[in-house]
This record gives sequence, C-alpha cells and structure tokens, in this order.
Amino acid sequence: MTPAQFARVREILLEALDLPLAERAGFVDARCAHDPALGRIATRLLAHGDPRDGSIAASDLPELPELPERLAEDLPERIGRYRVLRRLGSGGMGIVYLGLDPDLNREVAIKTLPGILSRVEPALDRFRREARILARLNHPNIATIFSLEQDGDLVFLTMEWIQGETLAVHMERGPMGLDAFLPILRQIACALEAAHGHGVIHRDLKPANVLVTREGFVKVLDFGIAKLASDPQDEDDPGPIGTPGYMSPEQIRDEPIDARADLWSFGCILHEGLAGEPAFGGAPGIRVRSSLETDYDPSRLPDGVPSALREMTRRLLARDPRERPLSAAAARRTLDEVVETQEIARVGDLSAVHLPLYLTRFIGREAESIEIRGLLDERQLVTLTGPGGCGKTRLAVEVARTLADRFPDGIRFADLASARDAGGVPRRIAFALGLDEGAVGDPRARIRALLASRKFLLILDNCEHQAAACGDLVMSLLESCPALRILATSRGPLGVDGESILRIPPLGASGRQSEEAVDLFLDRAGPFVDAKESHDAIREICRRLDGLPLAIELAATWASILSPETILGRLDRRLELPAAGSTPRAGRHRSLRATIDGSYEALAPEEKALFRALAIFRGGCTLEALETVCIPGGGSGWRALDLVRSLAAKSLLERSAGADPHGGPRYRMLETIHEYAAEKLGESGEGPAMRRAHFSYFANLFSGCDLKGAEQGRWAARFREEEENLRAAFEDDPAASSVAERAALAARLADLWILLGRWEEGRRICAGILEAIRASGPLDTAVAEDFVRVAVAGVEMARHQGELLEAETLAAEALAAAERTGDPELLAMSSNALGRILTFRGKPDEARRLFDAFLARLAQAGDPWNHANLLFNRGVALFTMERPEEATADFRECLRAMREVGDPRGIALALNALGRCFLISGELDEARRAFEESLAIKREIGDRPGIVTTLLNLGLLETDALRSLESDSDRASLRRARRGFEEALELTRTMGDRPNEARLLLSLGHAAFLAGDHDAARRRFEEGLRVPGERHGYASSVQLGLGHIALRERRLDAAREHASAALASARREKSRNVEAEALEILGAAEAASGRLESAIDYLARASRIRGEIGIIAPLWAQEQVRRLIEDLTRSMGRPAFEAAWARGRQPPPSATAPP
Amino acid sequence: MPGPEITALLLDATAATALPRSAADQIFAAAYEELHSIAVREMRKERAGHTLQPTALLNEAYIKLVDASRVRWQNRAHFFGIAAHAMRQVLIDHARKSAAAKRGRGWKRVMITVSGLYADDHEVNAVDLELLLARLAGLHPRMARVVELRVFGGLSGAEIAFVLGVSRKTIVDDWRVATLWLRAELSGESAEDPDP
Repeated sequence: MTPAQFARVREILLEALDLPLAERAGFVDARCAHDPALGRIATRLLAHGDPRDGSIAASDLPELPELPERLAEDLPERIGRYRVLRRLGSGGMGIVYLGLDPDLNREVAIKTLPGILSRVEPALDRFRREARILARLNHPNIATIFSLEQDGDLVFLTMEWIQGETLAVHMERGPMGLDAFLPILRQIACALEAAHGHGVIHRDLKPANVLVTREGFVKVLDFGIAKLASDPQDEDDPGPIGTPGYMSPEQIRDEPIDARADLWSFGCILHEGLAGEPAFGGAPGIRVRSSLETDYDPSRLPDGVPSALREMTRRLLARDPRERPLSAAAARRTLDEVVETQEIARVGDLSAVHLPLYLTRFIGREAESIEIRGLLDERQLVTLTGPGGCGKTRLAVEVARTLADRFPDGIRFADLASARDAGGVPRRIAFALGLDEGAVGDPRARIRALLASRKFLLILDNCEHQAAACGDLVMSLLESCPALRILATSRGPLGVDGESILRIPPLGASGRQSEEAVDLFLDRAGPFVDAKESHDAIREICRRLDGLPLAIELAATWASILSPETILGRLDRRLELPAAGSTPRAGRHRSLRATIDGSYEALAPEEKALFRALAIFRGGCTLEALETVCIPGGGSGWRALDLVRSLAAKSLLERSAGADPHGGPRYRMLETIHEYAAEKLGESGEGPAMRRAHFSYFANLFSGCDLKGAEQGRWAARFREEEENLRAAFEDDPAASSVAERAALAARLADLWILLGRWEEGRRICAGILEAIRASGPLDTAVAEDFVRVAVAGVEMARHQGELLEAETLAAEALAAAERTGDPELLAMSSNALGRILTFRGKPDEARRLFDAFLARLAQAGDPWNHANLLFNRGVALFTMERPEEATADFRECLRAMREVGDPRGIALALNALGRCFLISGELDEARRAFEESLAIKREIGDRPGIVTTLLNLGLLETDALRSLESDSDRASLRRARRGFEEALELTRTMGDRPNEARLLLSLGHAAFLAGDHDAARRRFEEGLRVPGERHGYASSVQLGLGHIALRERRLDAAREHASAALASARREKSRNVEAEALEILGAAEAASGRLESAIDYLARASRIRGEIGIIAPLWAQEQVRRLIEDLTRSMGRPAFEAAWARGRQPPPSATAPP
Repeated sequence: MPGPEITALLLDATAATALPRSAADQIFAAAYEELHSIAVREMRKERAGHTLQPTALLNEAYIKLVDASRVRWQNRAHFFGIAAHAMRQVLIDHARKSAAAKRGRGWKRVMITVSGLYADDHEVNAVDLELLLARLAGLHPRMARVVELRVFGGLSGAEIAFVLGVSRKTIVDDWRVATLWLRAELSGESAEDPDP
C-alpha cells in the first residue's frame, strides 16, 4: 500500500464510519468499484470496529479536563481515614491528593510529607505547633490546615481544598491592572499580617503559592511548610530554602530570617504583577546574583503605578531587611491608602461586588428574584419584608449577585442587626463602604458624598432593629444620590416615601413553590435521602413547617440520622405540644420554633452548652472568643473546632466572611436563632456567669491594647469588630464586673475611643465609672490609678467635643488624684492633659509653667515616653507663644527621647513639629528633611491625619521655596507640591477632615496659580469656600489668591478690589502676614497703572510689616517684589525712589495692631 | 523537586507556537534521562512479565521535572509531546540493548499497556508496536504521531491537536482510522494480506 492509497482508505473509512453498520459494506463497494483491492482493505479494517455497532467510541480521545490520566497503581486507595480521589499535583516536597473525609463528607487536599519521620523530632514539633496556630488562626486568606496526621510511615497534612488558579498562572497573561491586582495584594498582605502576628513565617512565598478563586478570593498556600521541607539537620538537602527569584538575600545567604523575608518575597510578587516580568529574572544563578548584588530599580514599574506603591515596592525589595517596611501590616496599610486614594479620585473604585458568601446552594425563589430585579429598575428603594426565617437576606444577596452589570459602581452589603442605637446605622454602613471612621465628620454626610453620583446598589440587612434610623438615613441618601438603589430587608416596612414593599412569602404550600421547598430540603439533606422514595414525606414536612426556609433547612440537617418519615412523625408530636410561654404563638412562628427546638434537643450536651453560651455575643465572635468564653476550661484546640463545625453543619451557626479581612472569620447566629439561644441561656441560669466570662474575655483581649506603637491599626480594626461586644460588656449587666475592672478596661479603650471618634459614648462610659469611684469613698492608691487613667481619657474626649471647661476641671481633678499616688507616670499623664487643655484655652504661658514644674520634678523618676511627651507639649505651648527657638529646643529633645524609646508615632510627631519651626524660620532644607522623615514614618504606621498634616507642610515648603517659576526644577517642585496636596486632599475626604480639606483646596489653588492655570486656581478657591464650617482667616487667603490671579491677568481694578477685601479682613483678623501680602498686590497694581509714588508707598509699608513680624514671603513673591522695586528704581531714578521708599517705611502715627 | 529549568523552558514558549528547537532538545534530553531511570526502577520492581504503563511513567517524569502549578495546559502538552517521543525512544533502546546482550535479564519481552485502542486497557509488546508505528509512519506520518502522542503520552484530543497544530476533528479522524489499522495489524491479520 502506498501513502496515497492509504490516504484514500482513510477518507473512505471515515465516511463509512458515519453510516449505520448495515449500510457500510454497500457504501465501500460502491466507492471502490474501480479499485477492488482498496475496497478489500477498507472492508477488513472496518471489521475491527466495535463488535456491537462497529463504531469507534468518541471517548477514546477524552477532552482536556479528564487528563492527566489517573493511574490506579499511582493512587493509594486511602491515606489515613481519607479516601483518595485523585492526584492534584506535586508540591515542593510531596504529592498532593484530593481526598474525601468520610466522616464529614468533605473534600480535602492531602499533602504527603515523605521522609519527615527520619527528621529530627523538634522540626516536626515546631511544624505541629505552627500548623496548630494556623488552624486556629482560621484566616480567610490562608489555606486552612485541618490536621497533621500519620499513617504508618507517612506523615501528611489535610488542608482546605480550594479550586482556583495560582497567581503564577494569572501573571502569565501579562501585567495585571491595578484594579484587579490591588485586592489580591491586599489579601496576601492580610494573610502575612495574621500569620506573622502569630510568629509564623511563610518562607517560600511566590506566585505559585498564591491561589486565586474565581470570585477573587486569595488563599496563600503552604505556610511554614518550606522550613519543614528542608530542616538544617537534613544532610541530603542542605542550603537555603525558598525559590530563587523570590527568596530574600538573607535567605540566600542562609542567615537567620524573620518575617521581613516574606516581605521581600511579597515585593517580588508586587513587581511581577505590575510589570508583567519577574523582579529578578533569568536563570536561577542570575536571579540569585542579581537579588544579592543589585539594587532594585522601581523605574522598571510601568508608568501609572501610583508613587506610594512604587515607593513601597522599592522598600520591600531593600536588600537590608532593616530598610523594609516594619511589618506586613504597614504594607497592607499603604495598599489601603493607595486603594482609598483611588477610591475618591475615580468613579468605579467601589465597583467590586462585596457580598456574603454562602457555602450552600441557593434554591428556588425564581419568581421573587425576577420581581425584585424589575422593581429595582423603577424604584430607588425596595424593601423585602416577611417573618424571621423566611429567607429575605439570602434572597437579597443572591439577587444582588446577578446585578453586577447593572451597578457598575459597586454593590455592598451592610448588616444592621448589630446596630444597637441610631448612631450604629450610619456606622455600619460606613464600615461596609470601607470609609474610615477616624477623625471628625458626620458619617452620614460622608456616605452621601461618596455615593452621590454612583450607580450603586446598597443592601441594608435586618433593618427592623433600627427601623426609624434606617428610614431617616435612607430618605436622605435617596434624595441626594439619584443613581443609588437600596435593597432593604426588614420584618416590616421602613415607612419611607416611594418605598416599594415586597412581601416574601414562605415557600408555598402548593404548586411550583412547594417543589422549591422540597428541593431545598433535598439539597440540605445531602446524600442521606432518597428523593423519589421520600418525596411525599418531604413535601409533608415542608407543609408542616409552613414552607419557612430556615425551618426546612434545620429539619433537613436531621436527615443524616433520621429518615424523612421519622422526621415527619417527630414534627407532628412537637407541633401538637402546647406552645411554650404565655402568649399563643402564631402558626408560622410555632413551626419555626418547633424546628429550632428539635435541632436544639438533638444536640449533644456539650453542643447545647456551646449553643446557649453563644447567645452572649453581639455581632458575632472570633473562634478564640468562642473557645475562651463558651467552652468550660478553655478551648482545647481541635475539640472546639469540631463543636463549631458541628453546629455549623446543623445550620445553627454561620461563619461569616467579615468585611474586615484581618480579623479572621467570625461566627454568628441568624437573628432568629440568636433570639432562641438567648432565651435558652436565660432559662439555664447560666447568664450571669456567662456575662462575667464575656466581660473578662474582652477585658483581657484589650488589656494589651497600646496605640503608642506600630500595632495601632490592628487594635483599631479589632475594636471595630468587637464594638458591639464591648458595649454589651460595659452596659448590659453591672453585676458582671466590678467598678475597678470597668475602669481598667475603659482606660485601655480610651485611646481607641479618641482615635475612632467614639467621643460621646466614651465620655458617657467614663463619666459613669468616675462617678462610681467618687461615690465609693476616698481614693485608695489602687483605685486612684484607674481614676486618673479614666479621667485623662475623659479630658481628651471632652476636648474633642469642644467642652474645654469640663475638660480643664476634670484634668485638674486627675492631677490631684495623681498627686495622691505619687506615681510618676500618672503625674506625667495628668499634667500633660492639663497643660494641653491650658494651651488650647489660650493660656500657653500657664501651660508652660505647669510643664516646667513637672519636667523638673519628673526628670529622673518619670518614664522616658511621658517625659518626651511633656517636652512635646511644652514645645507646642512655646510655639503658640511665638517663641520658636525655645520650641525648637524642646522638639529636638523630644525627638531624641522618642528615638530612644523607639515610638514611631512620637518620632513622627516631633519631626513634623520641628519641621514647622524650621519652615517659619526659613531653614528650608532642614525643614524638608524633617518633614520627609516624618512622612515616611507616618505612612508606615498608617497615621492618616498625620500624613495629611505633613503632606500639607511639605507642599507649602515646595511652593514657598519656588523662585522664578521658570526653571525646570521649579516646575518639578510645583508638580511635587501638587501631587502631595492632591493625595492629602483625598485623604481628608475619606476621613471627613473639613478644616484640612479647605486648607488643601486653598493650597491647590495657589499651586495652580503658580503653574499659570488660572481657571483651575479659581475653581479650587471656590470649591474651598464651599466646604462647610467656619474658618478663621480663610476668606482673606482666598482674596489674596484671586488678587494675584487678577494681577497676572492685568485686570488691575479687580486685583485692587480683591487686595482691598483681603486687607480689610486681615486687619479684622489681626493677620499681619496677610496684610503685608495684600499691600504688595496693591503696590504691583499701582505700578502697572503708572502710579509709581503710590506703588512705592504700598511696597514700603509691606516691607515694614514684614520686618516687624519676621515672617518672610514665599520666595517667588519676594522675587516678584524685588523685580518690581528694581523697575521702579530704574524708571524713577534712585534718589527719587529712595525718598519715596523712606516715607513709606515710616510707621503711621497711629500704630497698626501689634504682631 | 520540579526543575525550574524545564518549567522555564516551557513557559518561554507562547501558547500558539511550537517550542524552539534548542528548548525541545533540552526537554527531550531531560525527559529521556528521567524516563529511563524510572523504567529501570519499574523493571527491577516487577520480576517477570514486565508491563510498563508509558503514560504513568510520563506522569511521574512530568511531576519530577515540571512545576505543574506554574504551567498552563499548553505547556503541559508541549512537554508530553516531546516526552512521548522520548518514551518511545527509551523502549526502543531497551529492546536494542537486550538484543545486543543476548539473553539479558528480562528486556526481551516488554509489554506496555495502551488505553483507548480497545474497550479495555490492553497490553501489547513494545517491539511489535514499535515496528507497526514505523510502518504507519511510512504510510501516514501524522497518524503515526497521533498514535505516539496518544499511546505513549496519554494526551487528550485537544492536546494532540494543539501539539500538531491541526484541528481536533482531524486528530479524531486520524485516531479512528489508526485504531482500526492497529487493531487489524495487532490481531495478526494485516489489512494488506492477499485474499485467502
């Protein structure tokens, strides 16, 4: 046979194979009539088709997903108690299988660790310890380790099995956009933050170890496993661990490493994602060499990468670990800032869809879903109402999930169940929107501002608890945000105009909806029920349960032990019971009640106790809280996890993907179930003991709270998550704690209340505690300490609320109490508080005397931090008294002390204050150095109000230092200034910091003017004037700006008008600096009109004022004045000029206001 | 440990084009070496009536040489495409060696398991299959390559189509015809026999 013949045979066979068996022979004969030999070959070959139908099965060439072929002998039947399903791949050290846990019927990843047993025991011990930590950490961005087990010689890990692509695969598609990449980075940073916080280092972080699910969730794999993989004791595999190209220099050199090694690897990922190429590429040797020898060059990042991100990449990839950011938390905060900076700047940054995720399938509700979608087209507010347990929340979430296209600007979910007062409603919503809660500003206004022009869907869940507050807020939101849609769930309507109410019925008793109920039961019952056989029984169960989804779900979880028929029998008996309690319950309520009863009674005693105890929490709790508070004798590792898992499997407990990823998962109960559990807790008589344990737990949790260090962000996040629990601990049951205990906790929380603006509440709690202490008789030393701490906190909060007199009185009382203890720390604290208030109340000299006295007294005894703080506060008093040299000395000394203590925030504060001193005395280089260092630290610790101040100062420095506006370097510094102002402006807007927002708009206006963009300048000034609130001296500054513009545009009359207006208000406000500048504008305008004498007069008067106050004009303005004077001298002749100048310099007979 | 080099070579190739010659050579060499040592090990383990499963050997070599988490399916197909050929070469070389060593220990009859050719997995003599493949290559080179990739590499239809740069339908057609031809030849009843 020749190839040509064979090709013909091929064609004939293929045609024949498509024919029915019976027709093939005839077909072949007909086609090969002229070549019978070929026909014979074809016929013989066809005979080798499938004996039944002669076909060649298509499955002979399987489609892709079925490969690689799983080979029986490669695949162990079982590993431990797990059935092995297939091989998932190979990790750094062993094979990874997909296994099935027969007990929990859950798929797990099994990672075998071959050869581990031969290793020294300590290595394994350490790994066990870390695995346990990670298991308990239970962080959403860390692949959860379920267990470390052993089967004969084989040691293996079982882990959460996640479907997704590794980041390595994502990255191969080229550079990732910021919008897609930032959330991934942030989640990686959160994972590192959580693990590092517990002393676990990854050691082999790389794109291949980061899994991204289709929903965009990130799971970091293989934490700490790298180290186990190559223990130094192992002679076969010496040398560093990690992957070339991602391994930090210290790892390559095999030096001891700490968490900062992971930060380097994180930097590599950051670069690779943004640039689309590895930070250190090439062959392994080259990669190693370049990471050891070359400085990373951030200019390799593409244009358009924000400078903060660029700078962070550079620092992450610093070869010296000491130059890297302090922690993953610091990196995460920088990312947050980048995200937020973009948030306001650009529409669409909220655009991600953030909705709770459920592990169970969503069943039915098709008609309602369609209706809701339709209503949202027409109405701004749709409220889903219905009894508890009818599935409103889930329905709202699932409908929202399908609407991402309709709401390009984003979808967010706010759970209002834990809002215990009206103020809680805007707070929970702000939290869901990711708005910062610190600093000042009404969250309602900021929510409105944020959503004003967005096509956004906001889901408000469980509105019934604060229906009135919800209604008010919703109404004001809808008025000012035309493109906003709100989908609310509530047991009753919100009562807002234009509200569209949709009653969500239970899954119906008949027709299609009854099938939905059956489907729901079957889905939740899992493999335990035969759908056909038990169909009638299930339908009957659903009918008895009035089609309430929650009740059906609960009943379905019984199916693992009871048949549907038995369940039905039990329900019947239960529903016939007389309803508990005095009021007869409505049928629907009764059926729900009966199922919860049933679920509860089926629990083991240990589970029952946990279930009851969980009612003590408000707004959910962490696993740790659950273990400590609810499990007698404390948690014992895996046991608590088992109980939690068991309650969750019975739908009594939910693991929620909290809005705040670094808090770990939270466990909470559905509202209906929480109410039931609370009732059971009450009946059990365990309430007081539980409340006591609850208080102790939170007192203990926050006992280490210290905002002086780099941990500030972590504490704030923790506070926000536990806020409802803390409020309950303070206020639910006075018998649960002693006054001393409450005082100690309040003292710990004080800084958080201050930082997060919980002033009203904090003051209320502090006042209550102080009152209780005063009422308990004379202060003994122990109580006095608490008293001072709580009082000082009260002082700060009163000051923030503008109650200066109350603050001063309380500060004096605190100081007196501190004197009684003689404790230097308390004395320093309270004298600081009092002195600051005195400065604020316009009595800086009194403050200074107080500080002088205490600095002398506490020089030796006081602790260094408080001493430094006293110096700082005295510096502020001196600065206010316009004694910059003495202030500088105090700030310098404070800086030295803060550096010694190592408090980054203190260092940054001192540097910023020093910079201010340098700036006003014209030492610009010194000022710049101080501001820049301060800014770097503030960025690192995430001190956002501080960042705003320093950015503003730096920008002012840049614009003040401008000379001609024509050189390249001047243009560059103008650009720098503008970028700084813009960044700071965006920060003020997220924080609601109005005074600085206005200041920044003014500064941006000036910068635009200097750049020659007059329209932009005018726009900025006008924008600034619209920022609400009264500001001293603001209007006159705007007038000056407008005057400069008019002057430059040769509109001389307008220039004179603005300058005169500025002059008038400057005299009213006693601002001589503004007065001088206004005079200079007037002088320039006169000169331009040819009125030379008058011009010289104005300029000379300005010069005299400047001489008196010692405040110099910005360099560019000085330059302008200097040139003007030169011109005037030239045109008038020197003698005439000098005579006129001397006249102008004479002080007028009635002296102007003193400086 | 998966070799970063092989992985990198695979990743360097874009999905749509063939691997550069030099990269293919390097991968071939690495795969050959790995497959050879795995085969030797398997031969020692099984005392008599050696049955090798080429696809299993390839999977093992793949896991050893390639960081599977980093590559895409196209890279995987590239690897298997080259390694399938290496596998065939390993078997041929074994056969040659055993012939040279006369009655060397056990290399005479190496059976390999092929799947997809019959309803169940089927054992064939490696030498017989090699001779058949050589003949088929003379008649229809692409069809012979499809068989190689399928039998030795265990590649799916889509993967073979990708490696050979033709449509999946063509591959399925080739495979259907090749199946008939191989079954006929292996049954000892050549399609070309003159009429009885």
